[in-house]
Amino acid sequence: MKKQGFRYSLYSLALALFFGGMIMWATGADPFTVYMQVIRGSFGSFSGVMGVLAYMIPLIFTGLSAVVAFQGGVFNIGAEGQLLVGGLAAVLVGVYLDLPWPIPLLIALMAGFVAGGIWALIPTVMVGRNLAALFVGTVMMNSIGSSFCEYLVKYHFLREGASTTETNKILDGAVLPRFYSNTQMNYGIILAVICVLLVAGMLYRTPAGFGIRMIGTNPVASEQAGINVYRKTMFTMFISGGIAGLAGAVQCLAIYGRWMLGFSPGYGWDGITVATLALLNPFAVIVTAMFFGMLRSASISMNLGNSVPIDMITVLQGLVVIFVATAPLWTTLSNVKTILVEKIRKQVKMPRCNRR
Amino acid sequence: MDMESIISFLAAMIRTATPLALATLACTISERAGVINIGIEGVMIASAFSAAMGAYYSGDPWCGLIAGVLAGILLSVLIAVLSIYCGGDQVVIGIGLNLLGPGLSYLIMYKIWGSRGTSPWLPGFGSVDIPFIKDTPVLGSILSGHNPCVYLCLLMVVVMHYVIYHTKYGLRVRAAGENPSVLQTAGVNVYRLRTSAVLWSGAMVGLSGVSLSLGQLNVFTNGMSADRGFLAYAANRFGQWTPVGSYLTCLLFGGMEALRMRMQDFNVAPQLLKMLPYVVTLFALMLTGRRLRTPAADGVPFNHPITIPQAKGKKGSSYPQSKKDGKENQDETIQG
Repeated sequence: MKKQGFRYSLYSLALALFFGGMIMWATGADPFTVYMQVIRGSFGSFSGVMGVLAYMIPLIFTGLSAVVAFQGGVFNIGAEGQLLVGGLAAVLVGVYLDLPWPIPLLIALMAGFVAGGIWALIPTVMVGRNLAALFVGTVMMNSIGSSFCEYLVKYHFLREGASTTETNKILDGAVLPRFYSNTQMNYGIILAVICVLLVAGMLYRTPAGFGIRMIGTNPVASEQAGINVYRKTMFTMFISGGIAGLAGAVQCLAIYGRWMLGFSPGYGWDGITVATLALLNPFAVIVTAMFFGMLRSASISMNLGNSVPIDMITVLQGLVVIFVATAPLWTTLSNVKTILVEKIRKQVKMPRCNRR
Repeated sequence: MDMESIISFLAAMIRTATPLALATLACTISERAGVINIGIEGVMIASAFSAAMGAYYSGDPWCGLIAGVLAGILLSVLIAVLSIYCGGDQVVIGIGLNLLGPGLSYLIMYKIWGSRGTSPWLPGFGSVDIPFIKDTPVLGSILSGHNPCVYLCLLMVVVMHYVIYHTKYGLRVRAAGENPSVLQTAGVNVYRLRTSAVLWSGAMVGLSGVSLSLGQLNVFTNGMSADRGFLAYAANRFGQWTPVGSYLTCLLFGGMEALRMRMQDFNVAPQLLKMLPYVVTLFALMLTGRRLRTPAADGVPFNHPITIPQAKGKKGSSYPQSKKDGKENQDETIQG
């Protein structure tokens, strides 16, 4: 998956957009209009750009989380659960820690990181020796995480007189400020970019990152080379889960100011797509996160819902993941062409066209 | 606990285990052939939805069943072509299908029924009695009076056990999961064999989707599969890749589900009860962790020659790229 250049990533994206357009056309919407509307809505106005950037933030975090895990050979698709738990931990710190401004914010972010990391560590400690089973373990932690957070909030931290499942508002000390009060764009984007740099530095410039990538490339060889794969996988999962937890923390602290049921429309799942399309490159995550942030922002803010339901995004994501995963598809297609040409050449001996 | 409630508990266990058991059987057959099928979750939702659609428009649950199974097979064709013939990563393709299946279903559901939550009432399967067993004292009330999907599931367990362990095809399927190159040496087309296993698995997932939407609730709701596709993956491991073992594991999980429904009467938070099956699955995975007899080539792609990059210079030649000098090339052409 990694060795194919970004060219193939673009091809896959184009193919996914093409099939997505076909599906849109079949459900009665004009794909060209929709795509043009998405682009114009995202980059045509200042508030549109701000919206895209705001939606980018959680996607960069979850995408990075998936990049770390996938590079380490672990299919951590439990980012959604880690995100919910991390968000809850951060909000609890924000609600109960009454100190001047930057201190509770920093502690809350750290709490989000640690909580997400621990949530990812639980299945790793239990089933980490078997990488294929670990994948299922992380999925189970998704479902457990959402039920667990719902339980905690509903029975222990519910806001007085709340009709929905939500906590109290965080104190002013823990608020992650926004750029402009009328947009959702916040300083989380700086955190996200710092996170990209840190992850890239760790993966490509430190021994720890080298170990992670080595296990991802060949676990057997790394075991032979003296790396404790089990322990290293725990490290990978802790970092990956922690970054996913940060996504939840930033969302809660900056945008909602509280933990509420269903605050994430599936950012954890989006992260997988973002990372796959970026071919597991931390820097490319920014670009792909922008693409999917654009789709999300467009589908929500522009009220495309009437002609194109939100599920269209999920369909597009599925198509992108499938086509990117099948990077050899392009080799195959060119080979099919070669074989067809060969067959046609061989059959030239009996020209059917001239036989009328 | 008196006799009557035990009997009704066992009956509920069999009934609730059915969708999971069918999905687990699907997992078993495809992993036996060496293809990890992670996309079960998504395919299950898609086939549950198309079963709902088929039943809604025809008014006949059996048409729904056919539609559901067809949807399962169609999506499995995607897995088969992309992962077996094009050499894509099986797990990532599965993740993609898990996004694609529900996305497509809810999209079409919104278009035709105007809601992303629940479908209208569907003509589901009623309960069917089995002629002779019905009159047996205890067995009758446990085994009889279920919907047809339950019987289909039991039948499939038997059929699958027979096919995998007592036919030539089953032997080949097992060989494809253990060591595909041996199979190829013996002159069997591994790709075709794996494809057939994956398609069969798709049909089973389709059945499981049908039993979700038409078997129990007679309605299709958003997120109705509740991660059963992933539970199936775990149950298959716990059942050691055997149909009978898988079914017994699913009965265990079904018992858990039935227990959960009973415990709703007590004063326990529903959120905690909802966690129960997933926690049990985690522990099941942990227990099986080390002592697994995984098929050796499970998830290992057997690359089709078509996926290997070919020489660029010589168009129309199927020889791999070589750096031989002109003389040897000449020899080759003479021999050819």
